[in-house]
Amino acid sequence: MPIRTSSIVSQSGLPLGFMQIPIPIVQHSATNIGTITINPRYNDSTAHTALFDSSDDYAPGAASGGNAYVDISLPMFPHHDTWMNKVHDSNYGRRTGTGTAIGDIGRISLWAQIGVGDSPHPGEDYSYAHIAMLRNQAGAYHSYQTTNSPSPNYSEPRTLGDSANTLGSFANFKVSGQYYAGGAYGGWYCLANYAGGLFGSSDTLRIINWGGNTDARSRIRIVDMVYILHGKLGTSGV
Amino acid sequence: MKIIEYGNCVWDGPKENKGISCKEDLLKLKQVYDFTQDPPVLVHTKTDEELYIIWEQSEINNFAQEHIYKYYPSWKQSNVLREGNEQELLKMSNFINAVRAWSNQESPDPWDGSLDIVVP
Repeated sequence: MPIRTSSIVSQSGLPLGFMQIPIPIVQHSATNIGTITINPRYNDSTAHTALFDSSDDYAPGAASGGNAYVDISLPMFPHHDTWMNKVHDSNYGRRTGTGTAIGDIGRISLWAQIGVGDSPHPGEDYSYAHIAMLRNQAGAYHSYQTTNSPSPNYSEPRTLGDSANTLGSFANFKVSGQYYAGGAYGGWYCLANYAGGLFGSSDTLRIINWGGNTDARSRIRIVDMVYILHGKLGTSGV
Repeated sequence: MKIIEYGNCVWDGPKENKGISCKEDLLKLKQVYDFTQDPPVLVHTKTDEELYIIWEQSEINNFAQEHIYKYYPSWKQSNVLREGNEQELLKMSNFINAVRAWSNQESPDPWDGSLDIVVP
């Protein structure tokens, strides 16, 4: 008879653990290939306090020309709510009475490898950028504002998780770091951990680089990005 | 492709990445629902002025190329050039010129039927 701890395995001997489905959004394919570069909108401290309040903020041009934003299609729908979904029958690890394994937890994490600036080993906080992340919403009056009427309120951005239009939220948060060898010396940034309702029913992620310093210090490169659907395993199986 | 919604760019990228390949797909983006109702109720459909597409010239050129290839794939063009009589050559040439004129006009709409009526 196996040693069993009720908090670790079920009566059928299966782990009562949690599971994740990692879904890559951006995957670099080779050094300097397949990454996304976004130049800063502002080359000065205007970015430090930038928030959404006008139409221009949603699709801003970079200070040096081109776009200061990028739209990324989500490769799989990030729904994690249990709408009408339910698996009937608890065999094969299915969960019954709790909707779906994903809906049971209803949480998402977001991680990214981001190159900041152009320099390797620049010193901490030398290369930095202020970033915003928006999600769209099909079937709404406005993709990127939450205003529920034809006339948009530009102070109501549809940020990830519908966080407020405040500093430190997805309307404007700061990252610092470095960039070297096509991101090989990067690192994973945790942008959200077990967040509820991060994406809603969106299919597109918009990343805006507010910037903060010169292009060489505030340019960002999205090297890799992944979101993780968290779920809870069933207790039966085969 | 840029999708403009109430004056705001809400998509900037290839149309394939947005899953939009025809006018019907675009219509889905125009529909506004009241999600507080069960099932959600359609409350508004954005007009062509409220939501529209701005095409890149390269995308317009691709539409034109696909339309030309529909009637004259490259192998057929070669055959007409090599073996076709004057009448066949003129017919193909007029068609290609008409498609090119379509693509070179200001803001052509590949989904309004204006390209479809250009035939050899």
